[in-house]
Amino acid sequence: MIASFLIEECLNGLQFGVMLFLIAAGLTLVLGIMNVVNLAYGSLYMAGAYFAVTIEAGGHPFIVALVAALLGTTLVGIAMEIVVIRPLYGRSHLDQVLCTIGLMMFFNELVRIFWGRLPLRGQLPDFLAGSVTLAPGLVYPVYRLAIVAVGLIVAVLLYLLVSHTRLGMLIRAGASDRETVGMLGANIPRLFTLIFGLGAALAGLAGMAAAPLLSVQVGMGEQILVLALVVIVIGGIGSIRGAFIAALLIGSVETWGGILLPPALASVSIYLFMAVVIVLRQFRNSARGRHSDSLAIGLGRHFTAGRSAWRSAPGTRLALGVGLAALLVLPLIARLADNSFLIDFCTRLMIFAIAAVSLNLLLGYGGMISLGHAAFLGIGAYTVAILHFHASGGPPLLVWPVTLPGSDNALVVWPAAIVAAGVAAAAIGAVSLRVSGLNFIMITLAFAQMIYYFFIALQDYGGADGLQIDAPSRLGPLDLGSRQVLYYLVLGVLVLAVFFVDRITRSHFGSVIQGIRQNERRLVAIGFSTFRYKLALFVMCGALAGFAGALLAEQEQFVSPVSMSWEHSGELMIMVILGGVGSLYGPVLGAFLYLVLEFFLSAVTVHWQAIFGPALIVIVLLSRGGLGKLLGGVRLWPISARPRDA
Amino acid sequence: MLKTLSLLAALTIIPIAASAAPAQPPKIGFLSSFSGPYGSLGEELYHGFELGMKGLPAGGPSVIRADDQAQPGMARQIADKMINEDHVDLIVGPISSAVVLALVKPVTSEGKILVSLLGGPTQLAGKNCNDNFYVLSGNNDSKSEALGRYLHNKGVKRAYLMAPNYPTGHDKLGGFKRFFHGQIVGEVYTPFNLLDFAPELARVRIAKPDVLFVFYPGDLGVNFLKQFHQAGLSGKIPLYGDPFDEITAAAAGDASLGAMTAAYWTQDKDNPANRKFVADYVAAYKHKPSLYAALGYDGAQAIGAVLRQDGDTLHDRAEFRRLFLAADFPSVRGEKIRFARNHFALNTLNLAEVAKGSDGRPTIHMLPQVIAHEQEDDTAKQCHLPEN
Repeated sequence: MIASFLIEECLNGLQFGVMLFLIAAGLTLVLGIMNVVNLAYGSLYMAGAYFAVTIEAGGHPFIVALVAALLGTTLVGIAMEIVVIRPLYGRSHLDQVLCTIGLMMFFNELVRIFWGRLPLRGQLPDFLAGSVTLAPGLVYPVYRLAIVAVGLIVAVLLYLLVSHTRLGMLIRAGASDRETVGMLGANIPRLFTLIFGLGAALAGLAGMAAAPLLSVQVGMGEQILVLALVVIVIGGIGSIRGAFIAALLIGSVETWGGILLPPALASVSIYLFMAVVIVLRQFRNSARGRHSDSLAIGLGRHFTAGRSAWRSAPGTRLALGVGLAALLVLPLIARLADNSFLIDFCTRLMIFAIAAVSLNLLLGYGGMISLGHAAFLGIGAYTVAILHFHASGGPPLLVWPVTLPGSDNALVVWPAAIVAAGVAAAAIGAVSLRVSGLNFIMITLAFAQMIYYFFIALQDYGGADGLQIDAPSRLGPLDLGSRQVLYYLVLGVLVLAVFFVDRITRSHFGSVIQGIRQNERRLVAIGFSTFRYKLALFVMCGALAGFAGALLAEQEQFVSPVSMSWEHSGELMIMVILGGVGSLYGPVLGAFLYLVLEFFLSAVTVHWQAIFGPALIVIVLLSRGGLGKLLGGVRLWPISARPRDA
Repeated sequence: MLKTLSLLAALTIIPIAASAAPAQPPKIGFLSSFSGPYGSLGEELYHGFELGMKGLPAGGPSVIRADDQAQPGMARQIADKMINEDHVDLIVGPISSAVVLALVKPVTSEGKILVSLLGGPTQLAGKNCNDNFYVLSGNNDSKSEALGRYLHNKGVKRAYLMAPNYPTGHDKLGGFKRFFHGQIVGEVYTPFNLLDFAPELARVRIAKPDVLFVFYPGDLGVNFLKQFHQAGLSGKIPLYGDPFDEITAAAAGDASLGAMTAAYWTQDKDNPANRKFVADYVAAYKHKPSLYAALGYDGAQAIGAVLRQDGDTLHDRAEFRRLFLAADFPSVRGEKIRFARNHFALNTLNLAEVAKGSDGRPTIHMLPQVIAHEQEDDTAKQCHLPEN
């Protein structure tokens, strides 16, 4: 009994792992060889599932559905490569992230338009339905065994393809040195299209395999995308063998974690596992004196530091003055128009602008691409809400070693929010900053996911439902419940935040930080302890985001774990990239534009993402470095994106 | 750059200013999830609501709709816009309990009315009840309570419980346990983000319970049903769930057949209002309605019944309360909707099972056995509002 249970769970782990491998294999090929971060990969997975289910529902045999869906997904993949991905080869990873997020939105909406919102029903052919008895007392579904078989066959075929064919040789050579392979006469564009098509086919196969097990609906790709990214980071980018081993490991961790660990911990087990693997690998590599990054993702090489131009431009000061004046008189206009929503909306814009400014300091000036910034926003917001909760009728916050009541005084809860976010940033930074490149992106994502699930598991503070705040904080004679007061307060904080970033970047500290971004080794060589500088910056940015979170809690009078999800971190990143990475006012403009577009487009049509997605792509492809630049805006450094493969 | 910014500000102000003229006919904001995990539910709710509104005489309320993406923050922002820019009198439609919880305070403190068609969080049923908040579906845990009581009375000894690890999950299993006093051989809260239930199902198989009771809404329910069937457990372990609905049953296909649930409405519930509703719905949207469409339809009818008596009543919340709680209209549930003092609807619940409908597709089929005539429960009695 127990033995068959253990075997069954091992099979479950293996099966889930193999399915993850199917998904991760294509992604790791594309990322490792073409050096393209393709977040729209989940869309291809979704396409595979939708094609297969639709064709089967049309009464065609299973084999026909399989082949047609594979072909269809491959064609979608190739079209995607030619139209959107190809112009992105020479661009920074940030541009690729933004464009492929745009693609993801577009495909999701396209599916909603053609197939509707209701999930589709995927049926199994008769010969795959049912179960077999593997041993006495061990009954296992045929379909899951079939997935294991298909996954193993694909793994073997990929191995043969990569290590025993001419195409595989080119793939391997291309992974280590693309330029040389190109110069030796290989047709690199065609090779890339082929690889992308192959990756798409694998994604489609994975989607088809998942269709009878999981709900076939819009958004199914995003659920799996993060898992696939985790797999390829653990396995090593570009390595099929690594992806295979990592996928099996993750499958087992997920299976056994669910059985052995309490649910709150089980939710984060794979992220914990990834963080440990990344850090251990880093230590091992540095012990051997190796540079750890197989793929250096960074902004550093795309920047050429220029002189700060904004002081010298006379038109800029005028624009700045006009903008500030507009923000100052906005509440009056809103009153004239009898529209107090306008004030609330702009308050929200400015709060997110503060968060974007803090992320920009980290990302644009420090070159540290964190995909977990929303966690600090959430920690700040929750600090305010939790202190309020204990102040208004709840039990004391702490009874031991000292009794600490809650508080509803802004002069207590805001600094507490800033400190809490700063402390969290210090802890996360102390681990994450030991790695760089894609590993850094993924480890910050892992920590943010852990914090997200931690708050979901906090049943005392509302769990996934979130936590209400009874009344705004007290702040001397000011009434924070008044829209106007909060508006001007947030405006003041925003101006201070921009001023703060400006001072920081022109200080000695800022020069070192920018030096690190451009060439960390050189700074180490001349004697700087770069880790301390990076950590200090990370803490600063986390704390500023925490402040923004506190203000958000004041405005919404409600906090929820949803605001910490990685999608929200991604949104913050979009704001920064939209506005122009590393420009002083770019993130403010980006936050405004993103939220205004989102809000008004979604009011115009429920299919707003079908417009918004392509708009993102067009902006990125045309602007080369943010809207700030496209509109002739102000930036501290012009970004010169040198094509790497030209 | 900031020139652009101010231009942008100006551009956004002008249309807003133009639309801010005082509204004459009553305005209703339909705020629901059209994207995100509940996107399909929101669309069904809206279709039902739209259909119900067509029954109103011309010159009735105008309805604006918006998508909260199942995010409390976004919902709050849109509610704010609906109230302060579009000047709606009533907001209807939220799905997720988290969204309902986030909306109650801002909407009611601005002097407006909130009608939830689906989400009825327990937190708002007791001492935090609100006199301008109404739930047309019922309390979140009412079906679980009824199924727990039914299985207990049936003499079931050993039950295994599963739900996702979030507040509504705890609510539902808590409701079940309140009335089921047999042995609970397993009570599992699965991780929020679980995709593969196979490891858990292996444990269920070993525990050999008399029944498995689960709460898995939306896509979780589809995943669960498919995998439960593939694990070879359907037919072996009786499966009860709250809710299995028309959408999950259709999406999970034959894997869902035989699963049991509780229902106050199904497509085949036999009464004149429901027959008309199902026929009209099929004519308008080319597929059979789900529970959510029925709730949307009832919501529109309930509000319509109030407006028929007094077209201006949305501005007067006390008058609305009096008329709404007493509203008598041909509900598709086949009986006049009763409300507890906390303004949560009370239903008569039947046992129901997933079976093939007339078109051969799995759907929810109502069984004759009534398992609950809901009465005010202890939670509702903590509410300070007067009894109806």
